[in-house]
Amino acid sequence: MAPASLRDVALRAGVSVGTVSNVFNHPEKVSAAVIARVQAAIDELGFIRNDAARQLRAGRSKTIGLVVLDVRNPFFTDVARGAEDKAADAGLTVILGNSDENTDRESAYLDLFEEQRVHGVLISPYGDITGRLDRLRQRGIPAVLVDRSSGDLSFSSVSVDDHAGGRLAVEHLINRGRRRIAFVGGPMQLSQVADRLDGARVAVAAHPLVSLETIETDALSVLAGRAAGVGILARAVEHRPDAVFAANDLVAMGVLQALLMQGSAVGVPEQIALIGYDDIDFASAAVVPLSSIRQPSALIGQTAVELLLAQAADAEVAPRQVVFEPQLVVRESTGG
Amino acid sequence: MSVSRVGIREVATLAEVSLGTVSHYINHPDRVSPEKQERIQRAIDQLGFVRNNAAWQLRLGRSATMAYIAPDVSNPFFATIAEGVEQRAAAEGFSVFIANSGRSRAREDAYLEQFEAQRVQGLLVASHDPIEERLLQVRQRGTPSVLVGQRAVSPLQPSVSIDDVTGGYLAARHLMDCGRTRIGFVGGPLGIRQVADRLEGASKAVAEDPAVTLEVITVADRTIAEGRTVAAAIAQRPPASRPDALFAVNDLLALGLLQALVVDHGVTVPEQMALVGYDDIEFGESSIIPLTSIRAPHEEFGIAAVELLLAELSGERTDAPRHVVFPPSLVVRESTVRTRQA
Repeated sequence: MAPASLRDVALRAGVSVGTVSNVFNHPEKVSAAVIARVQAAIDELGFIRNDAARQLRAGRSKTIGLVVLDVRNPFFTDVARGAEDKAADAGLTVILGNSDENTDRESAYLDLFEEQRVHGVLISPYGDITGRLDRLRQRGIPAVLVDRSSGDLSFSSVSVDDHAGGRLAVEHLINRGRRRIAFVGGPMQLSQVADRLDGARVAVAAHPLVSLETIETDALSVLAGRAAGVGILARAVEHRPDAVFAANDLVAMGVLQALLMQGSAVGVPEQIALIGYDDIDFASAAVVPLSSIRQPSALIGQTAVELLLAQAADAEVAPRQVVFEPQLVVRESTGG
Repeated sequence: MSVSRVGIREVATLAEVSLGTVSHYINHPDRVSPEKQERIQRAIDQLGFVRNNAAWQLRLGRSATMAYIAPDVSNPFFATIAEGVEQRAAAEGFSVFIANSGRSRAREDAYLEQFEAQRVQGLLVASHDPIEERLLQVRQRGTPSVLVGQRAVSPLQPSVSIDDVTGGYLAARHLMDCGRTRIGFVGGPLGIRQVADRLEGASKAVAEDPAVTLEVITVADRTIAEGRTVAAAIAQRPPASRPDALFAVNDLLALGLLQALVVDHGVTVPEQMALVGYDDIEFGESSIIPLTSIRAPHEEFGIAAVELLLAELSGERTDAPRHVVFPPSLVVRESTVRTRQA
């Protein structure tokens, strides 16, 4: 049995399919009498709940759209879990879109969430999407930035002080006696990466004998980290860094794999100390347990939903920016 | 890849016809006059509307989407499947929504209902609960699906799975070949098909040698944390009554076991206890002791799932099998065979 379609509704209501579509998408273009007729046809046909129809009555769906940079990164799945739990308390569900650090995909998900009239959007942005989020807001869909602060304070946001995190990581390496530090991460267009590097620079600037080089990667993944590690191993010993600060734990795990598994004589932390960022579950279970900068990932997700619900309940409420402090976790990869 | 934002409305406006006419053109071109057909086709061409999902978008007036519901998106095995799913779906112009049912039947039902209501074009569903009956109902109402991770019973329900009985056999047989005789199976709940199949395979291997015993240590969850808990319980036993090998039903459990056994309880792996996981996630290779595991295909798995769904969506009758079952393979690392000095 096929479900009742737009066409069936149009037939029953005695209007064109285009008019039914307008009732859903541009009700302001349709007279109240026609809306009532279409609504009656929908009710009579009793077809499967259609979100478009339901939203005609309720105004907004019970779904929160969450766009993450990389669904493979446990940091983001932890954020998602925090968001899901908080959303469930409010009777809402969370749907994920993985932008995969790609502006086209990011944009496509924002379109899709707008089409669905989601309750709100949580997004860890890749490209510059302020304009898009403004448009969503004008259409009654609030948005909260996740793991990114709102530069002009125009949106609610939940972030971690990445600048402080970068400084913590590198100050720790310097305290362990390291002098030639390499920052491995990228792309720099990600503000998380740029801010962590910036914090690292501040730490290094206070120590004239310490140098900082940047090894830029095209993504924050295990593979990208492995490639960077292979590159380091290919250098003459005296040109290798004595410490690596990886922009996240996936990159750090890749660097670690390369340093230890190429039949090299490099010891971690003996020749090269290594610190990551995020403190994902796997960091402590690594072959050399990984020092890292911990972010309260589940709490980030929960807080983002709280801010979103506040915006959804009252569009006039002032945006709030919540910034968490990162925390240094020392394990064997920097000498325990 | 860019997703076209040209919708049925833009085409209708440019062709100066109603939305209904464009819809007819796609679904029942015979009902549209040749003159209007030509105008609509010209508008489609002009708007650069030559995407694979064009027909879907036109038919629906919105974008082509599929949804992937999984019980635990934080398991890296899920993430690797998702990668294949997204690549293959993107190549056909589909966007993928991901939903995490969090191993909760209620959430799973809520997502099924929600995606059906959103009229996604199709569903990929991995579940730890019996779900074929529910998918059948959803399919009868017009939304096709592919069952991911377990072989469907119904010939009409497409599925992509791994031969978990063989996987379980390979794991236990390997431990026996390493000379182990007291094997502990760590997994559960046994009501989950994948878990039961892996145990069945392990039992088959153990049955081949009367000197080997298999102890089943059931767990409620298959997480790193649960693995640590089980390790603590095992470490409390006197050494003589501990297993000399463990087969964990997934790598998360295995990593938790490994870390707690070695770091917290001073048990040497593999000498005192050998350990095999399952899934071969990317963190297994770089774990504290590289983990022996049962490898299932990763990206290929997601790609196969999307292709089955696309076949369903095309509505064409084909002879291609609806159940794709991948054979697993054994990946040997140091958690079962010591190859260098620690």
